[in-house]
Amino acid sequence: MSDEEAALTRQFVDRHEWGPSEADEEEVLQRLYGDPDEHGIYRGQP
Amino acid sequence: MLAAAVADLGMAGRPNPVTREYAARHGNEYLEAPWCQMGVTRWAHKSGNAAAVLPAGDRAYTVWHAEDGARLGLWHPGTAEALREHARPGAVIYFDWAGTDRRAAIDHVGIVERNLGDGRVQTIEANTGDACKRRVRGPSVIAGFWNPPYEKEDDVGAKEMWQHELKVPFGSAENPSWQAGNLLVNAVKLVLEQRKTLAELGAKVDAQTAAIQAMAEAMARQDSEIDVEALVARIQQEIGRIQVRLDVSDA
Repeated sequence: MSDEEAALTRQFVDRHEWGPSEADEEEVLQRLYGDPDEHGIYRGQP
Repeated sequence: MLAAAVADLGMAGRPNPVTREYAARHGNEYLEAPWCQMGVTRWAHKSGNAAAVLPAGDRAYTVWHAEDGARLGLWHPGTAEALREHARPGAVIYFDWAGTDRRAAIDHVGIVERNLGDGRVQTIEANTGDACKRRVRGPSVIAGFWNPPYEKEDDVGAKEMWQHELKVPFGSAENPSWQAGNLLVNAVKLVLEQRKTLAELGAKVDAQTAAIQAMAEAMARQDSEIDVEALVARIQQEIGRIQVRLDVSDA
């Protein structure tokens, strides 16, 4: 792996905000996978 | 691929197994780096799909990985139409929070677990809120995606299949005819059927051997000069020369 890729990946931190959520995201995930765990992770089987 | 991603759901913080694994191969500067693309790299290796997902080798920088897919001619733009028609489970999907479909502007990556059919997809993403989570994404933030040329069907593993099917209650009102018929059960059934067939073949061979012995002894009683052991050996030798074609076609 090149030093260039390492540098580019580090720069990524500054503009990385994990993005906006869909308005009904929780509803969709709950319908598909049931209730999330205590950390908000939907672990259910599809 | 998906089974490997599902196994990492809930992983959070850094360094973590994703960044440690990547850093072990490429240097400690990756231990605290954004790890969405490193997650895709890890899942590809764990699932034996590195050749399909990582055509240019390991990637930590998402833009370069998107270019890898584009160079294969597999790139689809992040439009609702393209998503509906082409986003398959296991597709690598890229996001630009500014809403463009430009690969150079990509901010984040995940893999498609389910095409919701309405122009959106449900994904699994590493490093979303510094954790590995399921998300729902639409064309407003999807820059594009590509379907790696998986050699085998990308699906949940046998373990997940087993657990999934066992969750369905037998004889429930919802599914009264449900029977345990998952991959593992079917595999065990197949082995048992093959064992039965082999046992039947073995019994036939034993019966034929006994018949040959009896026939040789009967002939010896008619002619005292016949050597029973030599005759049986001769018959067995002749049988050994016979070539038969085993019928292995489906019934």
